[in-house]
Amino acid sequence: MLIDLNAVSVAFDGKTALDGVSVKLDQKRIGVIGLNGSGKSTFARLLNGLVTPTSGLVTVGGINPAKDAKAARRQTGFIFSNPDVQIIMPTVLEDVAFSLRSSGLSTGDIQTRALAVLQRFKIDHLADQAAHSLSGGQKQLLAISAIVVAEPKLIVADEPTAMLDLTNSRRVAEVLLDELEQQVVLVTHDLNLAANCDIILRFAGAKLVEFGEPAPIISAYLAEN
Amino acid sequence: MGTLFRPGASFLHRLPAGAKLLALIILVTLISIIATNPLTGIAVLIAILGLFTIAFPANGPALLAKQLWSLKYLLAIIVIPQLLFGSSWPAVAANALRLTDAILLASLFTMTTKNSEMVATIERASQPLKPLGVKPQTLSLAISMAINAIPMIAKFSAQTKEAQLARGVKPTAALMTVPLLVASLKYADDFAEALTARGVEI
Ligand SMILES: Nc1ncnc2c1ncn2[C@@H]1O[C@H](COP(=O)(O)OP(=O)(O)OP(=O)(O)O)[C@@H](O)[C@H]1O
Ligand SMILES: [Mg+2]
Repeated sequence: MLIDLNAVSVAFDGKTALDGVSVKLDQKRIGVIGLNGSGKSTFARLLNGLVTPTSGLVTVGGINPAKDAKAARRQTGFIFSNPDVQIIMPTVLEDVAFSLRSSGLSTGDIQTRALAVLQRFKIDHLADQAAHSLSGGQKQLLAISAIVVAEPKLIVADEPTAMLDLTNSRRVAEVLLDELEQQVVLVTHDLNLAANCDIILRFAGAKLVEFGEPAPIISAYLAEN
Repeated sequence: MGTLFRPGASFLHRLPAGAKLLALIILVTLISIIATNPLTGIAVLIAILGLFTIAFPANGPALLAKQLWSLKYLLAIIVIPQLLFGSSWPAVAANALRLTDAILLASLFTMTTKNSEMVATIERASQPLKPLGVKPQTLSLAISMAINAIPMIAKFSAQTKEAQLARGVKPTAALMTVPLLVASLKYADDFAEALTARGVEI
C-alpha cells in the first residue's frame, strides 16, 4: 500500500511537531527512528487519523485519514507502547472478539476467528484469563492479536517494545517484522530492530532528515548523537 | 481482581447467565426481607459458603474468605456510625450480615459468569429501556470497561503508594488523591486514543 505524505506539517498550539514532511513509501517493513520529541509519534498517528495535518496532504492506500478516519482505521491497525491502555474487554478472548463486533459475523464465527489468532501467536492457553493478569509481553501479543483479527492492511506500532524485557521484546519484534504478512511501520529506539527494516526514516527537530537503506542512516544517527 | 470470572466446570458455571441473574435478584430480595436477626444472617452465610464450595471445589472457602477480607473497610464504614448512633449490637450485626451476604452472592455471580455472557444478558435485559434513550450496546460496553478499569486504578494506587514510601513520605488518603487522579486521567486519555484507534466512536 502506498503511504504518501506531501508537504505535511503538524502544529500543536502553535508549536511545530512536524515540519514539511514529503515522502512516498511502499516498503513492507518501514522503521522510524529519532530522538525524543523529534516527531515520530506524530508521523505514526497521521497514518490512521489520530492526528490531522495542519497543512499538507496524507494519503494511505488512496484514503485521506483526515477526511475518512473510519475507513483509515479499518485499513490501519495501531499498537501503542503501553499494553494496558489497549485492553478494552476483561478477558483475553473477549478482547480479541471485540474487534469483530461490527463485522456482521455470527457470535460463533467471531469466537472461532478470535481463537485462531490467539493460537497463531501461541497465547490461546490464556483465552479465558483476565487480560490484566497477563505479563507485559503477553499483553502486547494480545494487542497485536486484537489488531490482526480485523485483518488490516497496514499495522503501525509506536515503540511496541519500550516496556518489555529482552525476551518479550524479541518475541514481539519477531512477530511484527518476520511473521506478519501486513505492511508494518515500526517506531523504535531499538536500532537493532530498525536495522532489520527495508527502509528507515530518521526524524530530528520535527523534520524528516533522511530516509533509505538502514545501515548508513543508523551510522550517521550514532555519529551525530 | 478477586471478583473477575474464574473458569470452572461446576453446575453454577454452566447455568445460563439470565437464570443466575434472576436468581441473584430474588435471593438478595429474600435476604433483605428475612435476615432480620444475626442468626439468620449467619445461616445464609453458611449456605453461601456451600455455594462457593460447589462452584470452586478446590478453594471455595479460601475464595470466600478473600472476598470477606476485601469487604473490611466497607463494613467498618457501615458498622461504626450505627454503633455511634446507639443502635443495638444484634441490629447492627444483622444489617452488616445482610449486606455481606448480598455482596458475596453478587460476587459469586460475577465469578461464575463470563463477562461476555453477563454483557449479553444485560443487553437483553435492557432492551425494554430503549424507548427511554438507553442504548443497550453502549451500556454493556460501559460496564465491561468499568470492570476493566478497576485493576488499573488498583495498580496506580499501589504505584503511588510505593513512590511516596520511596521518597520517605507516609502515604495518606490526602497525599494519594492528586497523583492518583493525575494517573487516572492520563490513563483515560491514552485509553480513549486506543479506543478510537480500534474504531470505537466516542
Ligand atoms: N497532543 C500534543 N499536544 C501538544 N504537543 C504535542 C502533542 N503531541 C506531540 N506534541 C509535541 O510535538 C513534538 C513531537 O512529539 P512526538 O510525540 O511526535 O515525538 P516522538 O519522536 O514520538 O518522541 P518520543 O521518542 O519521546 O516518543 C514534541 O515536542 C511534543 O511535545
Ligand atoms: Mg513517541
